[in-house]
Amino acid sequence: MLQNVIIGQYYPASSPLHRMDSRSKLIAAFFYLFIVFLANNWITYGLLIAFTAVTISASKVPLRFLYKGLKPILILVVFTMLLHIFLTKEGDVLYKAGWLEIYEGGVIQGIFIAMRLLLLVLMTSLLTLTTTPIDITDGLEHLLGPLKKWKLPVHEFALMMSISLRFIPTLLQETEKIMKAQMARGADFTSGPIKERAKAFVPLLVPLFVSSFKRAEELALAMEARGYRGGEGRTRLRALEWHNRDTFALVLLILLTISLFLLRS
Amino acid sequence: MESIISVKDVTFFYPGEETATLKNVSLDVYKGEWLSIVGHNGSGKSTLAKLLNGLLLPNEGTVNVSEYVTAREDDIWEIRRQVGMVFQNPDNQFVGTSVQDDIAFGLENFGVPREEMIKRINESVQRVGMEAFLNQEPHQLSGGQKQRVAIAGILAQKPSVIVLDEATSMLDPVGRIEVMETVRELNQNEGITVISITHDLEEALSADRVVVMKMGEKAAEGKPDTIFQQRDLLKSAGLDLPFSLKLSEALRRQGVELDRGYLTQEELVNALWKLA
Repeated sequence: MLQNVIIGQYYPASSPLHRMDSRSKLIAAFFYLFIVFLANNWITYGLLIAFTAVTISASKVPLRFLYKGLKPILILVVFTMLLHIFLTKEGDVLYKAGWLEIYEGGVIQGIFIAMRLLLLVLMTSLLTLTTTPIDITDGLEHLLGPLKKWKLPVHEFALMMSISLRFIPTLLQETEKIMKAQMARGADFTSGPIKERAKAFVPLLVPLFVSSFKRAEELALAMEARGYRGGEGRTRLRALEWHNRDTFALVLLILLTISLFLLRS
Repeated sequence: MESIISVKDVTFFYPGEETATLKNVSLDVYKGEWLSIVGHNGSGKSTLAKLLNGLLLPNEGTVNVSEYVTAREDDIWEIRRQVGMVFQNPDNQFVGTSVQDDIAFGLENFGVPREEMIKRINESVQRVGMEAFLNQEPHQLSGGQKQRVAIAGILAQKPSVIVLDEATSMLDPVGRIEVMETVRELNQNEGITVISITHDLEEALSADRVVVMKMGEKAAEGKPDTIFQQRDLLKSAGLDLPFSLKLSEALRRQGVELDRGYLTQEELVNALWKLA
């Protein structure tokens, strides 16, 4: 049941977006978070939608994967849209029934806000859909590298991330094993009231915690035996390569920003 | 013979414990040999293993690896490069997210340049027969395969000694054979010294030399042939005799005329069919 778990939501494919350097993707996604807020009329939103649509098609990620990423926030999107439609009182009255009044400004505002949220989530999920978690970690380590000067433990943070990623499947396998062992002795994880079910998880979590600590201790020993002594003087097997397409993508993004500035009202 | 590791009068206490885990142990490991250190749980054999590459430091006495001393801080990294260690649990020593990342881990620590690293990874992965798995993730591998990756990680560091600390005790029989065959080839063809720490006497049978540990002391040292004839010693060290030996003993008690206890199945079979 816990077999074939895919960590994160990486969609394996070979698209221009997949081949981009994780650093440029991280910078672009971060930058995009800000420029989305520049849009404030139909043209600028149209521009952002067009840009996002092109990026999605360049990623070769099937739409249903994107939809899966969107599902959790759809309620939020609909809710904020409705709030704006009912509560913003600007412009002409479009509809009136008793105490309920819907204004033109409210509808427009509602649509804009919903679009903003959707665009944000789409772009950030594209980042995780086209980049493996370990590449994201590598990219972050490189980008945050300069912060080492201020004694920020960037290398340690990245190593921690990559070890956690490496142990997720191992711990899932172990969880399954413990679950089966408890079920064989009559534990019931699937029925009964929520309180009972939550209680049933205690005998699952305790052994899992104990073994994780043991694993951590043994891993630390194994790392030391293999000469680990912190980030200093360490070389790296994983190399990030900045290509022309990365520069190109960032230039595109800058052009988009300039047009947004020019076209916004 | 030239000794590569020498342990001199080593006594070791775990912090906060009354009795010493190792008492006055002296031991020489010779270049290119296969040495088995056998003993029951708590005999101090794993502690001894961790003293060999400076994971633990002796309270008294010294441990030397060729001209290096584990107690000297400047020597410790060179010692850890030279003395590679394979631990018991295959999962808990796999650091990288894939086979090649894991083999690279040690090399990264020692600051090997990337070009050289790639060369060494490809080379060592072939020596353990895992070249088809370079990009696999640890949870897709069997225990035996993970242990072979651990060995490849050590090989890439160009070691002179490999210490197997109960490295096969969590494996299934197939995995056990895989790992032992790999190590045997390295020992025979490349002259890498092997120290195997185990409580499994079957595994110690094929060693060049055996050291028996008992209650933190060295109880005996010698060739497997002579060690395994000392039944009482092995029994008092809490060790289970190899099957062929037990069978020969049982047959002798039943009046079958065997002249001694036989260590391997082959020897026993040969002796049996020659009986009149």
